[in-house]
Amino acid sequence: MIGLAAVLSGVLFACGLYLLLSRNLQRMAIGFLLLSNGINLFVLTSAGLPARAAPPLLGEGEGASRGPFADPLAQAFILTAIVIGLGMAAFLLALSTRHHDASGRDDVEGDGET
Amino acid sequence: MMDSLLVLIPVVLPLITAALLLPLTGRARLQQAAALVSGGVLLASAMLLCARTARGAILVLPLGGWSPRVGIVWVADALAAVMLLFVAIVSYTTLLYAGGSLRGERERRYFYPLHQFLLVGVGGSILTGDLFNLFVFFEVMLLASFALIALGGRARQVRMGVPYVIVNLVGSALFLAAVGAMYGAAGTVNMAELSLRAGGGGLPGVFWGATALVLVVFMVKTALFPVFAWLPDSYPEAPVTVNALFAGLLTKVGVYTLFRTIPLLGGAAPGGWQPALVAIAATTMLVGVLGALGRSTIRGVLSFHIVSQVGYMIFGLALFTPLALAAGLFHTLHNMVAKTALVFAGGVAERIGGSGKLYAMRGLARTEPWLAAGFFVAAMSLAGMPPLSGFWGKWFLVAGGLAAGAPVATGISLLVGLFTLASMLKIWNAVFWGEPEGQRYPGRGQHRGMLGATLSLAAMTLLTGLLAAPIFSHLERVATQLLDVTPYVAAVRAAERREVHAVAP
Repeated sequence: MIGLAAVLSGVLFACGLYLLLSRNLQRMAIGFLLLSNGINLFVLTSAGLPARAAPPLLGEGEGASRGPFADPLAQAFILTAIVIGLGMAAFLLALSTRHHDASGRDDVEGDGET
Repeated sequence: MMDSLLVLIPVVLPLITAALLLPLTGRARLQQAAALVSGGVLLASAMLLCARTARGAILVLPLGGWSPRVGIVWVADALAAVMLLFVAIVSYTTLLYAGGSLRGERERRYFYPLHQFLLVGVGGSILTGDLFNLFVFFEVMLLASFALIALGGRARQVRMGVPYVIVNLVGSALFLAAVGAMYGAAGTVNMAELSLRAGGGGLPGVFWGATALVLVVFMVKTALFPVFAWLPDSYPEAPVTVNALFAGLLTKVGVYTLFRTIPLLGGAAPGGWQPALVAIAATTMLVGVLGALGRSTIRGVLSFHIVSQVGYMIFGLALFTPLALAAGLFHTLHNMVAKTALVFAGGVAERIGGSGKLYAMRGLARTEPWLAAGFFVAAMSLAGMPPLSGFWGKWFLVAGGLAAGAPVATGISLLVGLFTLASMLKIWNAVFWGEPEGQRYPGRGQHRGMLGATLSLAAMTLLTGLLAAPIFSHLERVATQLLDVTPYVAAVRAAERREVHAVAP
């Protein structure tokens, strides 16, 4: 499980970085989304993924689950990070629209101080 | 009760103000008045917090009553309080300045709510006691800053803002990954707990790798060499008020996080980081000032100086002695004031001249004597002329550097002071000196709020210089508290199941 997550996270990282290095703002936005998903997976994995882990809800009586539990704090981190990532992606898309409207182009090219 | 309110106000008050300001878009004067009232309350509460923490008390507020090991804690010690005070001062003057300097409906409409959201992020980053919440507040701050830097939406502005956005997004993503790895290795993200576990030894190499990554991300936010290139291009494109706000507040949050985390983790860290940080700081000073000398617009020069000055602050931190640390802090506070005043004055000059190009206009000292005086005082302070605050910042740093045995970096800092003077004289000669000519909009410099904001900050840098001794002795106490990590850790640990815990010295 951990191995699979590591490979997947690495692939998402690599694709995300590749897209971020392009000059097209929409590609950058997609790259950022891939990167942030890769990192969410990484955070989840680094907190440990016990095999057949139960959700960290205890319950009562017969159905009460006994460990091992998945770490709830890491999941709370990711939940927050997903919300933030969504906001950032929305901003990037809005920025790319604005850039397209303002300059009529899709790509950004820094020209320094001219 | 009073204490918990004091810790809450710097984050919650701007949040409420922002929510109240949003429906008022389009009524800029009303928004400004409301923001000024809220800013006044913020200033007063920051002063109270300073007074409360001055003798070494540390206020800890565990939110929601969770244990600090797993929950969210806000910690206000003397360092946080003094930073918050200067944040409140700088943000108040930018509000005064904004009234005259924002151009057009598009800039005016959302500036004030975004300004408040930025304050939420800055206040939260300063008060938070754990790394994950630092990430969250960084993001709040970033999102507000992204919108602010693109405020107005001119094509060139959007294009130059893209590197800023992308670099900071990638930085945040790496920060999250590093926090995840730290959590995996140490089992907590609370800074006090991390410090304790790091001090106990036996943490895996992953932990130190993640720590290094966190520090690199903070270095990106602080714009240290070699990860500074995003700053000098994007800042001058933003509206002047935003430029001033970023120069005074935003980069200093990065500095603050370094001052917060390095003493907590540095004591237990594997050796060798100190000389490396000294080298980075010295290179940052030098590269920043050389870049500034090469720029041909007022705000271009000033933006490169942000990079250069950050080098001084981190130099003080890297030396890791109480004297040098206090000097770095003094320099940080001095710079927040002086740099904001400079950007303000440069912004007014830019309005009068119609563009920020050096040598496009001349003679502002004749036509706008007060503005010129404000610029001159702030510029001399930045270059380190006595009796202004910049002189004392450098004086203490040189003393600290020589005492800590770093003569080369100290020599570089003196050399950089000379170059700073040269680049300030370059602006002075090009824009303020000589017979008046080339002033396209001579009437535009007369706005009371803009002049008042510039002059009050210039007066403050003079006042800080004159009161350098008491301020510095307070900062020395702050530095001692920072380097002796135990009270901080003890305060956070003792806060379990109590609303606010104040630890007496």
